[in-house]
Amino acid sequence: MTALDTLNPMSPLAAAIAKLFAAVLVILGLIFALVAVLVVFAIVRYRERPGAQLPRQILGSDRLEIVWTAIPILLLAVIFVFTVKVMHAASPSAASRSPDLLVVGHQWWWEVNYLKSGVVTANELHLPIGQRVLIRLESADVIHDFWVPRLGRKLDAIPGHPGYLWLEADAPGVYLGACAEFCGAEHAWMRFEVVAQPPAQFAAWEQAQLAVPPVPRPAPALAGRKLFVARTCVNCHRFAGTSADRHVGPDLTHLADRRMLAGGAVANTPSTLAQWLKDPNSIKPDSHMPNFQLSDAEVAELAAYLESTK
Amino acid sequence: MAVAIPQEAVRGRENYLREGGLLSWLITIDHKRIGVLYGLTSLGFMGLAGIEALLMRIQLAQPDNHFLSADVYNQFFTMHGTTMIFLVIMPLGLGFFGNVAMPLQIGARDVAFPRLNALSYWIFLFGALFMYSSFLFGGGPDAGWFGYANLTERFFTPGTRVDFWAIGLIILGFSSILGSLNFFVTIVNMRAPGMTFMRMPIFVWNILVASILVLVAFPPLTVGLIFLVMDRFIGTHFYSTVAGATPILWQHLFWIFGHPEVYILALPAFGIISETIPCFSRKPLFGYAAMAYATALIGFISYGVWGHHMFASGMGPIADAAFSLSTMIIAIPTGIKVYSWVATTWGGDFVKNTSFYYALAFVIQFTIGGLTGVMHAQPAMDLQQNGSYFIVAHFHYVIGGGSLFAFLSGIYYWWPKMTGKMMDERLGKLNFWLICIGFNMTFFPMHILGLGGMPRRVYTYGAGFHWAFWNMFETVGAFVMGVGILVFVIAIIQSLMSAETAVADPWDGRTLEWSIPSPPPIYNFAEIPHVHSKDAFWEMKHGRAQESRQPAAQPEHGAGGHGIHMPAPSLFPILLAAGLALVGIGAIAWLRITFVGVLIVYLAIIGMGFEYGTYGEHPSKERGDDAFPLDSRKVGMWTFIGSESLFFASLIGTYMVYKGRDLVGPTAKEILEIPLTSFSTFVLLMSSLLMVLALAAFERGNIRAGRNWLFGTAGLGCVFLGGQAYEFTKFFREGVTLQHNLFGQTFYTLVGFHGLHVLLGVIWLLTLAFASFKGMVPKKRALAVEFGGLYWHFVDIVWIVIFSLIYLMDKVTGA
Repeated sequence: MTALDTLNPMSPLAAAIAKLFAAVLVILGLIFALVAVLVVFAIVRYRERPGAQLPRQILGSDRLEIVWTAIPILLLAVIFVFTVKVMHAASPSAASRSPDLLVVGHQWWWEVNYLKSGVVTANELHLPIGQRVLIRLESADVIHDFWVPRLGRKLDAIPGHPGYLWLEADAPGVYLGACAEFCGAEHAWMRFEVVAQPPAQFAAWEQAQLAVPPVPRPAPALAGRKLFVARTCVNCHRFAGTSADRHVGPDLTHLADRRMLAGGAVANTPSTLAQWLKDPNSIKPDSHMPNFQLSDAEVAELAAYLESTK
Repeated sequence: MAVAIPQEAVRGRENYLREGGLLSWLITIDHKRIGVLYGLTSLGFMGLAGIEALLMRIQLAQPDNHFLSADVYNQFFTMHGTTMIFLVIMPLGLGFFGNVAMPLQIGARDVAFPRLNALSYWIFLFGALFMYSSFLFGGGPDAGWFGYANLTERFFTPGTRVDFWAIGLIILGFSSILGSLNFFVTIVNMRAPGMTFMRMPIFVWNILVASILVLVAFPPLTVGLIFLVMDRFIGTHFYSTVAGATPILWQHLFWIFGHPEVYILALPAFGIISETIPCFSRKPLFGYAAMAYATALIGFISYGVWGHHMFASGMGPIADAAFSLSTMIIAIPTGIKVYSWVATTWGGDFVKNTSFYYALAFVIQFTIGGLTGVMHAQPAMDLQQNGSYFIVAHFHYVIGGGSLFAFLSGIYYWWPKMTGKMMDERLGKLNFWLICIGFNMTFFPMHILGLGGMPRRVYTYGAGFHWAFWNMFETVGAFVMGVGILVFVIAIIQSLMSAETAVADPWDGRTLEWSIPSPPPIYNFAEIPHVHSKDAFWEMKHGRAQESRQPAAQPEHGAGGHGIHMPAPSLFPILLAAGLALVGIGAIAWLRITFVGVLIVYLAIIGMGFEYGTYGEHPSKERGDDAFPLDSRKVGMWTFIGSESLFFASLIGTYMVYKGRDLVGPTAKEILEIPLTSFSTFVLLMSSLLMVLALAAFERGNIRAGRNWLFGTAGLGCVFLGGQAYEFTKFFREGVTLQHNLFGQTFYTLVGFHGLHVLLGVIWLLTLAFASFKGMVPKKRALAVEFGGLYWHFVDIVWIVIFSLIYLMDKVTGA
C-alpha cells in the first residue's frame, strides 16, 4: 500500500508542512462534512412526495448569507496566519550564506557537486544527518524541479535563475527524490535518492569519493580503460585520473558505488550496467546516451573498468 | 398552468432542426444550430480525449509497464489536457450551452451577430482539426498543455509537434474571443424588455462573466504564443536564456491567461447548476443577488491570482504571500455559491431525475475540488503538492467532477427543449451511477498517490515506490467511467430515435425558454416577451404576475411567427474560417499557402461586410434598431477595442520587463531617433483629424467629400508606415535585427504589431472609400465609417502610448 511520504516527514522542514496539512485538513474536512451532511439530509428529507404542495418560495436570508460569508473569512484568515508562519519554517531565508552543494538538473539526470570537498556525483545525494545544508539549484537545459517528499518543499531548477533550497534529514535512510516538473521525454526517469548517513559514515563516503582510482590491473578492466579513453565516452563524461573531464553526462569515477543507474530506471548491477552500455534505449528509450554499437567483448571490458573502482 | 402556448401550430413546420437539408448546416447562422454543432464537435473530441486517457490509465496500471512508450504517453497527456480544456469543456460551456440556452433565456431571437457566431464555430472546428492533424505529421504535441518554455524552444522540441500546438491555439483563440464578444454584446444589449441585469437568469450572469474573462485573458496567451512561434520559426529568444531573456516570462503570460481560464471553464457550470437545482427543488435560487455578485467577484479576482501556479519557481516570500492571499479570497464567493445551492434544496420538493442527480453530485465533488484548492493556495503546502498527483486529483474534481457533471446535468435539463425528445430515465440513472462511481474511483485515490510522492506526467514508475495498488484501482475506475459515458451516448441515440415528444415545459421551468415550443421555431419567440420579475415564466404560471393578471411573459396569440424576418444563411463564415486555417497550414508547410489564406480571409470579410447590399446594413431589422438600448455593432466595436488593448498591454509589458536586461547593445537609448518619430507621430495624429472630418462629411451625406477625407487619412497612414519602414531598415543596417538582442526583438514585435494594425486600418479605410464609388456606403447612416474611425483612433492612441513609453521615456529620464 502507498506510504504517504509527504505526511511522514523526516526533517523539521517537511514536518512543518505536514503539520500545517493536518491542521488545514481538519478545518476543511469539517466544512466538507457540513456540506455533505446537508446535501444527504436534503436528499433523504425532501425527495419527491406525491401530491405535495408547492414548496415555500424562499428567496434568501440576509442573516444566513452574512454568516456564511463571515465565517469562511475568519477561517481563511486563521489559515493564512498559519501559512505565513509555516512558509518561513519550511523555506527559511538563505540570506547571504554560501551554498554547500550545487545541484544541476540535466535532461534526465541530476549532477551533485559538493562545493567544499569537490566531490562530484550523480542521481545520489549523500547527506550527514542532523545538518542543514544549503543547495544552489541550477539547470543545464530546461526547467526541472527538485523534490524529496519526505525531506521538504520542492523547488524549480530554472535555466538562468539559480535557486536556493535547504535540505536536512533527521535519521539515516534512503529517501526517494524526483523531478517534479515535466522536462521532456524521460521526465519519469529523472529520479534520485538522498542517502542520509551518520556524520562519520558520511565523512568516510566523502573521502572515498575523492579517491582517484588507480589504473586497474586485470586485463579486461585495463582494456576497458583504453576503450573508455579512446572512444567517445570522454566527450561527455568525467573519470578522475584520466583525460575524461566533461560534465555533459554524469561523472563516472565512482559509478560502481551508486545504487541506481539511468536516473533510477534500474538498480546498478554488473548485468544492468552491461545492458546499459550495450543498448541504453532498452532501459531508458529517449536517453541522450547514444548506442555506440559496442561488441559484447567491448561491453564486458568497459563494464569491468567501470566496476573496478568498487 | 394557465398559459397556452401555440406550439402545435408551429411544430414541424418551423422547427429549427428540420429546416433545409444537411448542407444548410454549413451555412447556418441560427444560434440553436450552431450550439448543436458545438455540442457534437465537443463530444467527438471528448471521445478522443477519453480514449487517450484510458490508454494512459492502462499504461499506469502496473509499474514498469511498456504498453505505451514515453514518447506516445507524453503526446497523450499533452493532448488529453489541451483537448479537454480547449476543445471540450470550454466550447461545451460557452459555445454549446451559451448558444443553446442563453438567447432563449433572455428572450432574444438570436445573438447580436449571427454570422460572427457561425464564424466562431467554424474557426473552432478548423483550429481543432488543425491541431489534431499534428498526429498525421510526426506525432502529436508533447510539451504539456501548459507548454512550459524553454522546453518548447525548437532546440529541445524539434519537429512540427509544438508548431501545430502553438499555431492551433492561436487559431482557437480567435474563435474564443469572437464568440465571447458576441455573447457579451448579446447579453448587454438584447435582453427582452423589462429584463434588467438583476432579473437575468443566473446562468446568463455566468455566461456574461465568463465571456468577459475570455476577452481579457486570451490576449496575453496570444501574445505568449506569438513569442513562442517567433522563437521557433525566426530564431528570436523570448524564452531562451541566450540573449538574457528568461523562460519565466512564458509562465507569467500563460498563467495570467490560465487562471481566469479555470473560471471560464467553471462559471458556465455554476450557471447550469444554479438553474437545475432550483428547477428540480421547485424553489427559487437562494440569494440571487449574492450569487450574481459572487460570480462577478470571482471573475474579477481570478485575474490577480496567477502566481499561485508558480510558487515552485521561487518568486520569493512577499510575492508568494500576496498571491496566496488573493487566491484564498476567491474561496469566499465560491463558498457563497456552494452554500446557496445547498440552501436552495432546503425545504424543496425534489424531482429525482438524472439532471438533478448530476447536479447534487456536482455540489459534493466540486466542494472537494474547491477545498483542496484552498490547500494549494498556501505556498508551503503547495510546495509539497504541486507537480504531484494531488494536483491531478484537485483539478479533475473541479473540472471533471465539477464542470463535466454540471454539463451532464445541463444536457439532461435542456435536451427536451433542444431536440423535442425526452431522454430515458433508466438509462440516465445507469449512466449517472457508472460515471459517478467511476469518476470517484479514478480520481479520489490520486490524492493518496500525490501525498505518497507520485509526480505528475510520468509515463511509468518503479515497483519499489508502492504506487501500484491505487494505480490499478484508478484504471479500473476509469473504465467504469468509460462505460458510463458509453451508456450516456446510447441514451442520446435512443432518445433521438424514440417517438416520444417533449412538451414545451416538461420540468415546470422557471425561465423564458420553457415558454416556447420544444424544439423552438427558428425565430424562437413569436412575440418578444415582456419581463416583470426574475424567474419570469414561473411567476407567470404560479406567482405574482398571474395574480395581478398582467400578461407577463405571455406571447400574444395570432402572430404565429408570420412576418418575422430572420437573417439569411451565409457562406462567408465557413469560408473565412477556412482561410484562417490555411494561414496556419502555410506557416508549417509552405509559406505561399499563407498568402492564399490571407487573401481568402480578406475577401470573406469584404463579402460579409457587403452581404446585405450596402455596407453597414443591419442584418435583422425585425425589431427595428430602436428596440435595443444601444447599437450592437457599436458595443461590439468597443468590446473588441478593449480586448485589443490587452493585447498591446501584454506586448508593452514584455518590452518593459526585458528593458535593461540586454547582454549586448545597442539598446533603445543609443539608437532611437526622436525627431523622425516625432514627425511620424504628428502625421498619425493629423490622420485622426482627417478621419473626424471624413465621418462628419458622411454624416452630412456628402459622400464625395467624405471619400476624399478617407483617402487623406489612409494617405497619412501610409506616410507613417513609410517612416516606420525607413526606421526599421536603418536599424537593420546597424545590425539590430529581431535576433540580435532583447531590445531588437521586443521593439520590432511591439512596433511591428502596431504597424500591422495601421496597415489593416489603411486597408479598411481604402475599402470603404472604394465602396463609396459603387454607392455601397449608405448615406446618412454613417455607422460603417464610424467603426472604421473608432478603430483608427484606437490605433493612434496606442501609438501615443508606445511613443511615450518607448521613445520619450528613455530620453527624458535618461534611464
